[in-house]
Amino acid sequence: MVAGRRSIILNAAQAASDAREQASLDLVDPIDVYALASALNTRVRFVDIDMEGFYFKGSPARVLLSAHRPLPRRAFTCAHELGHHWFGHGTTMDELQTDDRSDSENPNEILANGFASFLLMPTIGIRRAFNARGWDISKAGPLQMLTVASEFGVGYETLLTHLSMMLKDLPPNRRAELEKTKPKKIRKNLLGENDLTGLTILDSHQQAKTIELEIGRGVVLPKGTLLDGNSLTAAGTFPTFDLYRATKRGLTTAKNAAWTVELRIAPTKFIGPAQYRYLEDPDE
Amino acid sequence: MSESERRRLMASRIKDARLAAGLSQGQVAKLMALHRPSVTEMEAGNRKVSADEIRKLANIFDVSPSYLLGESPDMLAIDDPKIQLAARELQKLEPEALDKLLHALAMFRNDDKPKGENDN
Repeated sequence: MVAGRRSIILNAAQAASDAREQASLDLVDPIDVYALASALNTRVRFVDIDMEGFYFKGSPARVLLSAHRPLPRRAFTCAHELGHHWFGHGTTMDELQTDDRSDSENPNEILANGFASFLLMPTIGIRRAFNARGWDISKAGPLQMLTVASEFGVGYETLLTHLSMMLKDLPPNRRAELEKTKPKKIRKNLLGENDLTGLTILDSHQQAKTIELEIGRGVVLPKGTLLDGNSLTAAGTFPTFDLYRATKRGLTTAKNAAWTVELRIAPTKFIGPAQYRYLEDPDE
Repeated sequence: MSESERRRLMASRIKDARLAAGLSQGQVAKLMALHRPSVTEMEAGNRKVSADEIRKLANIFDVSPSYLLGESPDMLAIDDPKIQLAARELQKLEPEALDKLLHALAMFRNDDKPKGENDN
């Protein structure tokens, strides 16, 4: 079974590269998974349903994602459902999960999971992210892990699972140690007491062109970053970065000497088709 | 069904589909190039909605026109062939979650039609 699992994962990694290529994306940088879904002719919708996700094989194919799950989790589940789509699996429902389904024995689930992991966290891109910052993956601390997870739009534990189970760059004991520090604790250590629902950390090395946020979530930006848009509110100044809180649905462009990023702010637990998540509301 | 019942059903379906699309009345008005009160009146059943407007609303909400018109059911049957493969998995959902899922699936537009029959 171990050998079978490994070969399924290799197959999944190759498929993730193929999917990126089909959508004219490189094999390095973070992606907007919802734009990729659209490029693969699937329609993504966030729904008020207690589950993880649902893939509907039809014309058009549809992906339903639970709005109740954390923001980075929704992106991973979207990629997972796209895996079912890519491999031609039938209509399938994914129940609520507490982890990354890494223990699933169902070959279709292993395949979809591997596809999602490599699609969002390509090997070259992830290793580049650590190298560019001068960080050793096997020794990186919680804040460093959260910074790289932010860049790729995935959850902290999802990155740890990928580094450990898929890339084998993180020893299991180190992963277990890192998992003891929850994202909420990392947030508190960095910012002090706060009531943010999540935190995205963007440093000067990050390569994402778009970043998903929702109202109530915080975003850390390097000092000197200029904002164009009114979806963020200043929430704190620190020695090396500024903190903002997402407060209004819409788009804000963040620009500094190193990069320009489109920040997309959705309502909290947004329900609706993915393409409307950051549509500005004239009623507000 | 009387004309006024039919109009009330259509009005409630338009509102239901709008909320499921995460749009405010103002956003819909802007996408339809209408004044906001027109959307309010449609949802209150006080305004006649043209066939062209139904087509546009269905496009915006990504639902079937027949759902908005009240001509198709509110829920997909659990034994519907479209979800046959997942029927066993679906039974694992809590009853409330299952109802919500079958409702969402009933609304969706299906593009499985000969070319030209669909709008756009």
